Amino acid sequence: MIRKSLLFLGLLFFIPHSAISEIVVKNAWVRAAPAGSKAMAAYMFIDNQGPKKMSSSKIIANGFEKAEVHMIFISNNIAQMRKLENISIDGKESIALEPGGLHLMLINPNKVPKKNSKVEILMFFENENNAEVVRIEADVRSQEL
Amino acid sequence: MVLIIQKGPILNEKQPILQSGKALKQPLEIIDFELKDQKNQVFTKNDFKNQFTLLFFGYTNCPDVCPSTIYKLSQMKKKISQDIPEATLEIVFITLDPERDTTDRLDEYMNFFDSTMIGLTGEISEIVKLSANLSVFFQRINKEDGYDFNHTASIFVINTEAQLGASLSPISSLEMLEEDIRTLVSK
Ligand SMILES: [Cu+2]
Repeated sequence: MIRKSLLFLGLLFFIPHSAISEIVVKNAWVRAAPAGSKAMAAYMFIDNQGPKKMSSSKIIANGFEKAEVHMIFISNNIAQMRKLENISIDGKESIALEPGGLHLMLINPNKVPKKNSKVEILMFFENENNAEVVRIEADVRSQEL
Repeated sequence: MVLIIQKGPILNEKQPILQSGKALKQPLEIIDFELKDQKNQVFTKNDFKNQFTLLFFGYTNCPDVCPSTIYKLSQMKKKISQDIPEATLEIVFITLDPERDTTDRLDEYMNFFDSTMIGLTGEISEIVKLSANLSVFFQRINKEDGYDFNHTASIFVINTEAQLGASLSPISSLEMLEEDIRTLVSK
């Protein structure tokens, strides 16, 4: 566990500083879950302010074994959760990760983070001529209206 | 893997008219079953009587759909109980994952989201029987690091005589669900 957080800190030093950050993340939150939960969902609003399509290549959530992109499909009242390869956002477009749709699935927490704490998430985005890492501090909270 | 598909009950959209789902023309009798609640108390069909019940199926490791439904139902229950104190409304969650969802796990889960909710677990055969009765589909999806379920996420409205009165869509807005449930409980 200590080794993992060191690795995480190490990664922070390698974040390339692109001249302008094109990906802007707002209102990131993780749905609070009871102790012993094996996965938590993270939601946010992602804006691609750059001119070209950007796709996520890697996602790291501090304190979790791994993070994936998931989508909920509901048809005939049957809910299915599917793993997607990545999140792609066209230039000058944005995308909302919200309950009942897209979420980041944070899997196998070392310890389920408490309500009102924060989860640090690194999202790597890239296209053929640009790469960027976004560092997100997501609030752990319950759903709101 | 458990796979259950059964023909649904006959639905009639004429009365009462609901926005978020369908009321059954002829209420469907719930079969006899025996499960346990989060306090390890036996829960049977009789426990549905003399109140309205909002029932749904899920699993506590469900990260998105189940907690969203709990959130909507518990908000709604608070409002309706304030406005119509004589209508007793219970929220019941039945796990499709009794292997991981023990009574202790359900107790922790209910306390976390809404301690007034009832969480039921038990023998898989009882859960299969009841889900077949209500045309609930579920399928375990194994992954390298655990498993999830695809499952029917409908909200079932059980009337005061332990009969299925209506089934509502999980993607309906809080407002639509609330209006429909008000219609059903004040009938
Ligand atoms: Cu997921």
